[in-house]
Amino acid sequence: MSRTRWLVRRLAQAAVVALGVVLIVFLLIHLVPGDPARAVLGIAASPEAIAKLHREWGLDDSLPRQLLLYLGRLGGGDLGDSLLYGQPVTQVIRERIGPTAWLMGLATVMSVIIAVPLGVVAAIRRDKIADHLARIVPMIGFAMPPAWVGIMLILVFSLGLEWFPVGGYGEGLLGHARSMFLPSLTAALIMAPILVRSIRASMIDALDSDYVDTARSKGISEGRVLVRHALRNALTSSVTVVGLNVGILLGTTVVIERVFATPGIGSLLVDGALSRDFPVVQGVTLLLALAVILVYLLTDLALLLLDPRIAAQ
Amino acid sequence: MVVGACTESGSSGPSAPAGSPTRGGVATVLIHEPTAQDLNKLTTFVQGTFWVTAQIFDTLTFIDQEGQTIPLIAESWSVSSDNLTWTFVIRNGVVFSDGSTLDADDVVFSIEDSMRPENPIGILLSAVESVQATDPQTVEIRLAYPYPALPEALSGVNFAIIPENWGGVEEAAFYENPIGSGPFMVDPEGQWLKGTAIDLIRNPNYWLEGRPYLNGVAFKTVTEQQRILQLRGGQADLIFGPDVTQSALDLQTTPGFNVVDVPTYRTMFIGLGQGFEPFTDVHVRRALAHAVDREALRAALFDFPIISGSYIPTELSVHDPDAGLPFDLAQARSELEQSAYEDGFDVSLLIDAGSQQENTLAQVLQQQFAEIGVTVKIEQVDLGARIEALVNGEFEMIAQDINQVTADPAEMTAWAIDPSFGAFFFTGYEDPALADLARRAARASDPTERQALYSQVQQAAAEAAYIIVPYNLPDIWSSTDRLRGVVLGLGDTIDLSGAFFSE
Repeated sequence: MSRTRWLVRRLAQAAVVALGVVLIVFLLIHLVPGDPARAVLGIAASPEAIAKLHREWGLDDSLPRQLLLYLGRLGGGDLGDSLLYGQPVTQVIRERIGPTAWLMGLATVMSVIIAVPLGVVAAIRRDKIADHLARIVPMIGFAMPPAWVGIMLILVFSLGLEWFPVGGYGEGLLGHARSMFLPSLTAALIMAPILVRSIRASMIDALDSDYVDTARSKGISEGRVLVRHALRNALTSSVTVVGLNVGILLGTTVVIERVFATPGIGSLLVDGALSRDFPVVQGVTLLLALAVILVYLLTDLALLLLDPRIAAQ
Repeated sequence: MVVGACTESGSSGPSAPAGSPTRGGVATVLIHEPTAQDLNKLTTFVQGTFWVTAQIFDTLTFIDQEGQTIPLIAESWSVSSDNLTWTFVIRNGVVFSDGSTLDADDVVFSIEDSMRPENPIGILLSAVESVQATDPQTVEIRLAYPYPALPEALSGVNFAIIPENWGGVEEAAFYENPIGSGPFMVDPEGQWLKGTAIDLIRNPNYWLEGRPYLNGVAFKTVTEQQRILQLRGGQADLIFGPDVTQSALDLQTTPGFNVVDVPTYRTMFIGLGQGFEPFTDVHVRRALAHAVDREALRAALFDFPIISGSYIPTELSVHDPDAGLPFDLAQARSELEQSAYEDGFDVSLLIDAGSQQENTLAQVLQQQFAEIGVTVKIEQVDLGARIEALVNGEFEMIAQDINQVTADPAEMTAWAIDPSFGAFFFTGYEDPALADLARRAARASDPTERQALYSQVQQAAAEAAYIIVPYNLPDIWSSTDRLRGVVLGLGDTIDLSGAFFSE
């Protein structure tokens, strides 16, 4: 299969998945009991005020008609207007995407920084204490609920040492970096263990391979053999794991953002669901689904570029 | 009640703070409910928004911490001898945040606007026949029948004063950039994430000389855990909560913080749906009411709730402390034996999944009702779903607290009885005689007669037991030692006009 055909096929699959997500989310959020008008106006809202909002928001239409109208707008790239914020969903998402982007980016970098040395040490010290420690200790972070890990980090680094803010997003570049450090670390501690194991396994394969023996026989220093030959090849297979991790992290952000009161996409999704802001929930879920699809697609593309054998297959 | 240094008692309008106030600083207030999704003070009935709109708009009257109705925008008021004409004198020198003068025409417009059906508590003004300005400082309100609690009712934020004709713009546009006479206004350069956060800045034209002291207030909605952590971490100055849990006691004993539990007009209701067959029998309902051990409930909730068996909040003068069926297991069993359900039955209790207090309440009730053979299945749903179930009457048993925003007992009576409003707390129960008695109580001008009638209403509602009231809920607020001069009033009000940061 040519690369172009492969890409077209993957994009078609992605479109089908995205459409499925849109339909499922639309039906689910509309079937859950709860009225967005009452969420805005409160328990004592008068029937007249509720009816007025229903009219304004088009909630008087039948569900199939609402779905058709939504799909029609979606076709034109319009995610609709938020019921609560009174602004286009795209704008609401744009205002909230910064913290989530910080979280995703910083967490991914942190997970690599944590996992690479541990994976390499585990591979070099195979079946020794260092290997066991490098594999078992990070699993503690993986096994703990993200909310608990986050709270522990806050208690130690925010309230105890006062190094980082308890929550929020901060102001300015430095403020954002400081505010997003602990949420990102929480996410990285969840992502790192899988990556450590992947790098370890790949490194062991690489270190046992003929090309590493050849490199050593040429008299190349052990450090250079490890980094330039073994690690470089080992990381290629770990790219998939990083990609998968990012996919998992997109789901975990919802929890982490709640714990740290981060005003990001995850918090937006939870607030939208609780107040039945249908367009926001649909828009954010679609965005997250597309992001996961895109990450997996980019992962495949990266592998394609890094490993010519995949293209040959 | 535990009163920390962050609160002051009000006596005549916003009170003077202790110590010497200093100007400056922005107070960060973290709350639990969505805030400022919509600043339309008329249609909104969300506590998280009330706290914001109450900073922007002023009302004619104000309820102080002793439950007294005191002047705010109205300097004084009087009623005619036939109790049908109220005259309100408007305070001189009050201006809106845009500098324009607040006069009688603005008051007339605001009250007439408040009578629109979109006002959730507009029912309180159903006696009003006409409103007119007799001079720039005087407003006359004529009634179709006596309504002695009018000044109390006008303390509600839904009846706040706004400029005539919304200052010449459309209603929707007005509330995007509202103009009021309160101590703060929306910061045009600040953050307003609807439902999540809003920045207010000092109103430079505030009518009370020298106030407010703060440069601004930032309201944010965050989870309880984050509220406590941010307060401890110095990122917040005042938070709603903690909930009535160990966390409140822990924070109370931590140096540098004040935890205050403020009495409110908030009643916790257990509604018994008439669509559920066993509850159509008064003996079954009374059996459950007798099985509730309020002291045990209070102890389980760290002694924070205020025990009450009446739907009328304990802080209102007409509250009858004798209303409510007493805890008596023998009587409960006897009542059940008189029904077709002497061997008990299974029932579901709907509560809010996010409320620790309701969770504890439900678990204790589960144990207490088990004593008479009634098995309670606790169903936790999110707030939106619970409210839908309540207003549609789709429940067997439901727990829901209601907060009234005025000091008029007719407001809670509307929830607990009025067939055209709360409809017997949406239980499907019907009792025209009780509804009529409640109407008579609301219209009684003689205080003694009014008290007697309201007592009858409370006792009749308790005897019918379509609702069971276990307690009234105080609001818990926590602050840092630095923030002073905050007035936490009855009716869930926060007056920040006198708040300041100490050195």
